[in-house]
Amino acid sequence: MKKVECIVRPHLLDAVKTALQDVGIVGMSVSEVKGFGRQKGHTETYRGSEYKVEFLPKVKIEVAVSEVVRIRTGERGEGAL
Amino acid sequence: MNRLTLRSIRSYAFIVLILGAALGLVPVAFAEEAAAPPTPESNAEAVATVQNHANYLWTLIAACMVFLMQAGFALVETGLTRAKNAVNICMKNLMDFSAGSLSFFLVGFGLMFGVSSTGWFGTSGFLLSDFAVEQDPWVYVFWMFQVVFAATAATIVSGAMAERTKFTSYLMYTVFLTAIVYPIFGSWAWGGLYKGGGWLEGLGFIDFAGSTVVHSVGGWAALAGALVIGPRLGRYGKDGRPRAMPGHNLVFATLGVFLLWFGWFGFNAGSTTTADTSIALIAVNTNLAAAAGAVAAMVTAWMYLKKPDGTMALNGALAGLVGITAGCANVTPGSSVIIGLVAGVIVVFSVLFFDRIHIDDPVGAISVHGVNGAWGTLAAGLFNAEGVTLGIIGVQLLGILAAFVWTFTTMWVFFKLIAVTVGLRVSAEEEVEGLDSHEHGNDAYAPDTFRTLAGDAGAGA
Repeated sequence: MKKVECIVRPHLLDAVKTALQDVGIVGMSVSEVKGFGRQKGHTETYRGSEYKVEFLPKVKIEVAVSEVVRIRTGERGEGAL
Repeated sequence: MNRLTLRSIRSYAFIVLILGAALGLVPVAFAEEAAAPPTPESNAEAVATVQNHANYLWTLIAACMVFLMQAGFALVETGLTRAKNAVNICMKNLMDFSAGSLSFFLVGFGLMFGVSSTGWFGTSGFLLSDFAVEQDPWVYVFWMFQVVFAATAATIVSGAMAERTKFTSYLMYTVFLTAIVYPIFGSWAWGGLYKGGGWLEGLGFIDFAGSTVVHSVGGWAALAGALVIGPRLGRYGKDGRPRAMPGHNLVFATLGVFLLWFGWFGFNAGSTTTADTSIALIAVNTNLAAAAGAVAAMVTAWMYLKKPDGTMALNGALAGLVGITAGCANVTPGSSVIIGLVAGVIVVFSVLFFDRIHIDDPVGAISVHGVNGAWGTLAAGLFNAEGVTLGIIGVQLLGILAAFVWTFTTMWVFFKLIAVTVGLRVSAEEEVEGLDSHEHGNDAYAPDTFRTLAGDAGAGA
């Protein structure tokens, strides 16, 4: 068995979940993480002072599989490991 | 179980009938002699009684509305600071009111409203000793109304000194303010509302509900405290640029402002301590100033900082409210809008100004209450509906100055004394980890997942 970890932007969670279920995966664990990849963070202002938001909210999906197959959800940036 | 037979029903009915007849005779037995026909004098007396009772009712309800502002302050202050200090802010707020009530009962009320031979402080009425059994208990309801005002002034400071002040030192501050500093200035401006008489009110000083007496006093005490204690760690970088420390819950902050806005109708309109039609204009003025303040602050922040910062708009509403508090009874609604608009603009630039000179005020208390308290007091003179004179403006300015000199000096000395004796600030380690765990041993948001899991270990999976 292999464990696959998949970190995606939160709004893709549903698409990934459906794609995984379509290939027959029944169980998965989901957790909220923060991170950055190719998208950089951005700068916010709070009461006149700037601050950088570098770590963006992400979602980590973990599944255990017997063999790793590439799947597509049709969205750019789906980085399955 | 007994069956309900026709016979038993008749017995019960008979008993009820006898009892009813007996009870019906009771009022007859206690009736006085036939009442005398009403006279103009007895009518006037009856009307005066009703008016008196109405005054009690309105003043007490207003006092309860102002009390609820404490919940507003708690929400605004926790919302605009970080979660690791939430319990500490809540405790400071709770103690501002609790310890403050007791100090005001023991000492403060007497200093503020007691008989004042000098015009500088009162000397009677401590521990509510003015209450006399055979007289109207007006002192009780007046005290209720005044204690919530004193507590409002006290709680302004917790926001400016948030996230780094030692709890015990803060308790000492709140007792000192409500027992001594607030009442003495209050006696100058409001002593005559009860048994005292102050030199400032004698000059015609206008501060109907307390832009200066409550808000500036709180604001300047906050300034002294923030100045003495210094900014939060990491707040200003080595290059001097301010680093943002965003509040952790702007929903709380918003709810807090709404609660404060609501309570302010009691704060301003209740200051009549009379149930009459004058409360109508006061309520309208209060609302318009708050609304104008919120809009003006939002627009100012939008233009100057490129985005409609929510926290600035919230501060703007409060600034408008503080700004109208002095003049709510003697200005027109149109003037209230202008006063609110100006307050909203002032508060944004004031917040930025204090940041620039490295006075860290997490919630903008100094700008909302101190600076706009001064503006509101001046505005009460500038927009006086019955006419503006240089004399009136002069007295307003004198009051503003007196409040600043008295409050800032006494509080600066007090905070300095605390700092060099028992210490005003928590240690760096405590500040970084958050005051909740070190000062209180509590978590505000109960992240007890892991503790609960460990506790469940014996329960069986």
